Amino acid sequence: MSLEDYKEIVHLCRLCGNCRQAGSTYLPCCPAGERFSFDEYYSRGKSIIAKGLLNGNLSWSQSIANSVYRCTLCAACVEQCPVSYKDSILEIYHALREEFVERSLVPKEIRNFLEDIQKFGNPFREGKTKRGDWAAGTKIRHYQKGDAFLYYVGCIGSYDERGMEIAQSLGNVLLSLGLSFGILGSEEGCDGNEVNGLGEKGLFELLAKDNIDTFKRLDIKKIITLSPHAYNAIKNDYPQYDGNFEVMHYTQFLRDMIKDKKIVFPKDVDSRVTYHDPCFLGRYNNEYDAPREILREIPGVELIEMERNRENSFCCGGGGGNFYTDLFGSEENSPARIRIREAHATGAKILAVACPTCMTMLEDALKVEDLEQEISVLDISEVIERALGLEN
Amino acid sequence: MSEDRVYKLIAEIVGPENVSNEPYSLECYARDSTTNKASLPNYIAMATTVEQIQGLVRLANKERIPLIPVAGMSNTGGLTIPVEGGIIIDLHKMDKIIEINTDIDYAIVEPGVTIGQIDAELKKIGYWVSLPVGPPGSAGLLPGYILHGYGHLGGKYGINSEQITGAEFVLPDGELVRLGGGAVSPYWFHRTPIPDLLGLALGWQGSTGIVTKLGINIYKRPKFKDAVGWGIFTSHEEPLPESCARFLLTIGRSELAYDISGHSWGAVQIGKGLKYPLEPKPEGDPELYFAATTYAFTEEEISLKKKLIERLIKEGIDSGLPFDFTDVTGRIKVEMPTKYALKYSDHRGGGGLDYIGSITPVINWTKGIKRLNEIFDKFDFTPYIRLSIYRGTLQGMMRALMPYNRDDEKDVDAVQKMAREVVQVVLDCGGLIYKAPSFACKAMWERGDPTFLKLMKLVKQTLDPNSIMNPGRLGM
Repeated sequence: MSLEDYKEIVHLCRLCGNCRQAGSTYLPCCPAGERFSFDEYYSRGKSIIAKGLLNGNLSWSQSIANSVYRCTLCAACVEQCPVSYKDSILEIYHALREEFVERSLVPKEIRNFLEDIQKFGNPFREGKTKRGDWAAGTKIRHYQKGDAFLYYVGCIGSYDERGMEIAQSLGNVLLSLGLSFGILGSEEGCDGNEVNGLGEKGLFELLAKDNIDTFKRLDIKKIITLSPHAYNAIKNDYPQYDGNFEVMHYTQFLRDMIKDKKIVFPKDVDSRVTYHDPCFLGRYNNEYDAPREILREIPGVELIEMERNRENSFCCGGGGGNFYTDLFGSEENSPARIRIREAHATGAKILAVACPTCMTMLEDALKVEDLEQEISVLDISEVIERALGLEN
Repeated sequence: MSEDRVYKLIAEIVGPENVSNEPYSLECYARDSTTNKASLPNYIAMATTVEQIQGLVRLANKERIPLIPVAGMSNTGGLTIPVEGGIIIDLHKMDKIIEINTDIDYAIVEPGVTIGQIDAELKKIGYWVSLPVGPPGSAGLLPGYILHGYGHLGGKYGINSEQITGAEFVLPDGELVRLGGGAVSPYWFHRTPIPDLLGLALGWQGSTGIVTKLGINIYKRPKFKDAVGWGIFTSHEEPLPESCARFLLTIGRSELAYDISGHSWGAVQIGKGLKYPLEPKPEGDPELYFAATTYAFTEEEISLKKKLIERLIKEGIDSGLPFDFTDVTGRIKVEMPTKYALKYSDHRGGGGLDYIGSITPVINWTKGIKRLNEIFDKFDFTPYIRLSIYRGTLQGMMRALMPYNRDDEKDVDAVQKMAREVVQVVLDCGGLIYKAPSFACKAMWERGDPTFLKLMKLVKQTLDPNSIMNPGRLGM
């Protein structure tokens, strides 16, 4: 939908400013607001900008795009909005971005990202043939017709150094279960979740349809994703292109396996652990329990919560394409640094994540904050790997 | 963004990343949720220290440019709309709770501390403060206090500004002064017995300087809460007969409740989520809903308080007053701060909410509410009246709320007209308007002591000879 379609809605923002704080903690909830401070970075301000663009008080410009794109689409504002406007907030963000794309006004960092996806099929400017290289030397094999599950890895798990480690961890865990599964390697395409969020609908449609065609050609029915971003796209956006699959984030799948006693942990992971909710698993898909249930089942894990958790969780700053475009930078008030300090303040020794984007953002912040001796960032798959004694 | 001379001077004070004059940024600070006309500032400055505020004040004087302080951006009444342009000083990043003193029971906060933030912090140590009832948790605590707002403990402690113990204040020439006890003592515990110069900062709507720290009373937080509700079964034409108003005085005088508040029938329906237009009020429903909310430190105490309140109401019923008990289970569960009040702005599907709030003798609510209903009827709006009795006295808040469609010029026009009529009703009832838009101030001064206005102007002129501080306020 275009922004014009929201003409009768944008004024429903109550201008109350409640989009600034998280639930009952009353700590800041907006990563863009924390980083850039001015009202235009909050949902309240964005509603005014949208209204201004619609009624001609403001003109479409690259400087407005620079502001609008400094948002991680984390949906924290949606969670806090007390009026019916909340139902349209994300749609309006998407409509704004689509219009910036159409008008060729997107910031150059975004443009480069989109061009890389278009050219290379990934934002890492790597060849498609290398997409499955991370699995070389492991027993993880290519998906074959008849396999029970597709393990969908995504761009970060395929190309990013740390992402590949996580992809291998989850692969090891899945192998240890004797599961019938495979990856697509060079046949896998970018899930497109960030492309969609950045407003490049046409490119997203191409990416989604490519993946859907592949999934259908290989008769794939069940998909386990490494990333909540891929999970979100396949679950919520692919159906509009006739792509209907049973998709699970890996924490949901493994939680069920633990419940069914198909996973038993032989080793103790003696540590205080705090968990960071990824936006695309939590707020977008209302899955807050599966990762926590897994952690609670791991022997020796003492799970402690950060003040901002579940629906009030504070975004790592990597969403909305920022993982690639780095529009938030790494200043002291960058979201990832704020979040890593919050995790450290709990006294936890492990910050568990369930998303390769969050992993990379928070691990980078950990280094900048010089807290590497105090706390580690581990994907839940890596914690499970330890508890199963699968670590090299 | 054009980096003109003033822009560069502001950047020198707050840092280049903390100033903006982008048109879209200015647009965001040009309006609030009320029908007061939007007006663009020229610059936004994000201040993070008192020294920066002082620097901006000195710059504004030198350049003869208006200065408008804002905090939580939940502003109403048009009080932070820069009617003559100028520099908006956004204070929301100054959000430290500087001191919580549980030996003398006060706290000192910066302007960006929100009502949710202070409540969450005090809750951890078993304390609380009187929290503004209408705004969300993200609203600034300080503005609600210095503008004489109403809090959820008003039935016990009075209006919020009565809880102020001291302040740090940047005068319009950039000098920094301490007001209240903190001017002499290391403890910000009380505003008297020295001359109460806090009056130079309170209720002036930011037109005499900028409060950079505020001392407020804090109170031990009782563990138990309960409430008693009763409906007043009267008529739309005569919603609160004098006998019923006198009964409210009895309840107030009993000093049993921390909050005694009433809502018109329509307001309660909107609170339930019903949308405009509402179905007609069913025959058996009360015209007004009241609730007395009380707290206690022991079960025995809460039980006794509830019984005593119920007994008073029962006595009212037995004496022939048109009352009956109502279920307030939901109210008991609601914790402050609440988003509940904000739902009203959604009622007409429009995001806008305007109101005229007043402190008015309770006995005059009888004629006040009747006339407010007539105004709502005239403009075809659901009557939404909120009433609260202040600490044990015979005066309280009478507020007419007007949800409207921000995108509908007719709605905007109607609400502007209604607001002006409501102002006259308040003044006819001997009331005073709080957080008053400029037109409401003018109406007050027209009826008031001319020397009072003269003195106000003298104070303003003395403190702020260049009229840089939030000009256009208070109808001066």
